[in-house]
Amino acid sequence: MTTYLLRRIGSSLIALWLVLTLVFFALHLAGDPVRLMLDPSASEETVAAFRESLGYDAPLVVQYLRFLGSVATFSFPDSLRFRVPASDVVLEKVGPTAELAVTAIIIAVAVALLVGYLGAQARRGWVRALVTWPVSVLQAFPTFYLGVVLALVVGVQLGWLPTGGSGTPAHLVLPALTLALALVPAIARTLRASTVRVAGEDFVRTARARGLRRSEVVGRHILPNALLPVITVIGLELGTVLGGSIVLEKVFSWPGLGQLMITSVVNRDYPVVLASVTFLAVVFIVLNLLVDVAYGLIDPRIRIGARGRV
Amino acid sequence: MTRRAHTLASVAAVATLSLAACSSAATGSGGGSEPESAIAIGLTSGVESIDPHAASTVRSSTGVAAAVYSSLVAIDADQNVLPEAAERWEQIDSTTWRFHLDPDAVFSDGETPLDAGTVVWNFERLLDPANALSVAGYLKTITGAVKVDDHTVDVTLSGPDVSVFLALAYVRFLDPTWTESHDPNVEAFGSGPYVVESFSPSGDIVLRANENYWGEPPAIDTVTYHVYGDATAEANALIAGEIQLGGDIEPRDVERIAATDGIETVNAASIRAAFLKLNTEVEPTDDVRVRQALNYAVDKQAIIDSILLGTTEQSQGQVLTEYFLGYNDALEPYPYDPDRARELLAEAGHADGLTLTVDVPSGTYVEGENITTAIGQQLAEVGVTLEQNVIPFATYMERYTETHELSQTAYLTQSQMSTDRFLGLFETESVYAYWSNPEFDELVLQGRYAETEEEAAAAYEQAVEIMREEAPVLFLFPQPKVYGLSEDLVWDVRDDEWILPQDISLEP
Repeated sequence: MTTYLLRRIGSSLIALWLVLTLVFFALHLAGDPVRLMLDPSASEETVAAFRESLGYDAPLVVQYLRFLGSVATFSFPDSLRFRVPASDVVLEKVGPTAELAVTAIIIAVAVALLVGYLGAQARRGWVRALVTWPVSVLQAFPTFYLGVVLALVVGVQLGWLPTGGSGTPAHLVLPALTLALALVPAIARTLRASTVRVAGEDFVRTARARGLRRSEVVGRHILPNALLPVITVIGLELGTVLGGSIVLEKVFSWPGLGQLMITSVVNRDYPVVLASVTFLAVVFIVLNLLVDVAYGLIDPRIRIGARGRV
Repeated sequence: MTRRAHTLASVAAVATLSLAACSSAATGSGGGSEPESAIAIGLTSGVESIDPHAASTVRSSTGVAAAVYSSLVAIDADQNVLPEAAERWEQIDSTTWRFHLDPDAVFSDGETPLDAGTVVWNFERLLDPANALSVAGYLKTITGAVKVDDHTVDVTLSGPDVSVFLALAYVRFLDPTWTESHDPNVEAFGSGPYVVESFSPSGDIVLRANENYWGEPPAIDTVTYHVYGDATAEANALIAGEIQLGGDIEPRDVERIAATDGIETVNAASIRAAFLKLNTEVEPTDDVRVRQALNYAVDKQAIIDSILLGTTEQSQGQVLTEYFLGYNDALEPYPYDPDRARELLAEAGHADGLTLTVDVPSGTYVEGENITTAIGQQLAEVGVTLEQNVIPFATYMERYTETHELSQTAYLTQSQMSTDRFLGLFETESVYAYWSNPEFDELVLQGRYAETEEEAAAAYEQAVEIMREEAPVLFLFPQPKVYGLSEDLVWDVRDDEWILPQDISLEP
């Protein structure tokens, strides 16, 4: 197990380094941000002085090494716009994004459980169709479109909820709901499929044969076993959550990491872009690592396979 | 700061909104004590830092800075110079201005004086390049400030500058002692009509009237800024009643707002010129006949009517508008004359037509991509094929200013607070120019260092006449600047895009 863990950590670090290097050079190939910070009428001397004081006059390799140093300590230079350490700026925006993501996942799981279960187990065919149909349609809608429509209808036309911004639970409803709706199809479909599969297993037939009530069969035997793949899917869908929240934060003016990244890229606030990419990359890689390790714990075959290849 | 402040800000914002909702009802019922007045203003780009020396976005951060901090002088909507921290001033010689500070001027604790030492320290902070403060970019001609006595300061210039007051209005004063122990990026201690009640970087901001303000107290007690992702989100918030004033309304949303009761839109006479930059350093736009032909070939009014829905007017053959010193009212737009355009192209040896590329930054300018598409269709009529090169703004700026690789044409909108800076963008030495005309350079220089406004205006009028003839740009129109506001708001829309909370009041 230790060897497996070390191998996984090692490859995670390499993946992290590749991502960060790619982002660093992609960003810096587009030039330095000094002129965007200054008024167009600023003199060339002012531009040069700014460039020097911010360190953008150093050779790219030197800047790259400095950047790797920042990553190692997660202490990035001051943001060009916020003028406080970029890591502080990023960490301040993590809260709202996490709030949005967690709420969305909770809503999505609740809705998906209902839809997925009914889709598989409802006795009447029309009930099954009624719950599976909308999910298929929903899957065809891009998140941003759904978000804009909800903002227009619920926020502007009906005036029930704020169109955007943050501060009260009411502000959270539309963005979280939109993001949740983007997650529902994948989770519901997985649950439906695994429920159908588990329901056909021998132990379920045995349980039925023992004369257990339907609710007991479902609650004790089918659902717990059908939920395992769902947990995997939620793990995989974290990418959708973060990607979706970047778009939705823009649509609903939610003050999180997504909006911060968009404006920082537009304004070329390099320290903030690099700090937020580093943060997200680390989060992603750590989550992946955790999922892999958890698999290894649950399923010994994966560990054996790993050792076999060494 | 962080979590707690975020929550506090949110609570305050909600309280403010409910107050805003109550206040109109309260005035209606009549009687009782004076109700709290509150408004909410929408922003489409957040304020990242409230350091007044780092505030450089006119419609967001400088508005907040001007509400919380004071400067020597203020500029009103008609560009008159008004006293602020300086009660009067006089010119000592062509490069020295003496300012007499208002002895009542104090910071918001009601005690700390705004004196000569404070003013001098602020200029030193700004002029030190190691501090990398963006407002320093405005101080082109200002070399420093010297204390004469406790309430008198001399501001020294590198040469005569008739527009120095426009720059001075950006220099707002921090208290040196307070700044030693606080971070002015996230906290504020000013001498302006408002104090910062809560601030979250690029998030909501709440301002409250400064109880110790030494000048005229503001009419609105609480001002909240909400940040929206884009212009459409801001329009939605205005329609839903979440804000009472939005400064970034786009023409496509005007009709929706007009159809809503209680809110309206106002078109400002924008000072930001939209044009097609013509690169005079590459073929075939190095030929003045080609550049003139392009000016003749575009029907600007048709674009204004169809895409911008009448929210602006044609440029008068110059980038300046009446707002600017040296606006030349004898000039007219290039008429729409495709025949003349074809003639000029044929003279220049392009009778068979030619192909040009236009750089367009994506999603940056009001209807930028649609405008260049329309221009392309019109140019096709005279045999010019316009290929669109839509690129991200950062890449666009990099090609434009650093690697100097602008295509033959580029869609651009630009503005500056004063004529010498605006026309300075077309001087040979400017990285933005892509054009060199010694006569034009000479006239701009004359205007910049003129001793009087008349002398400066005369030089600028000639300069823009040359610019019309030489056509380093395809003149279009001032970029529309549309405000959406609640009908019970009393506020004079300013052409220079400033929104100062202290200028706003509510209908009684």
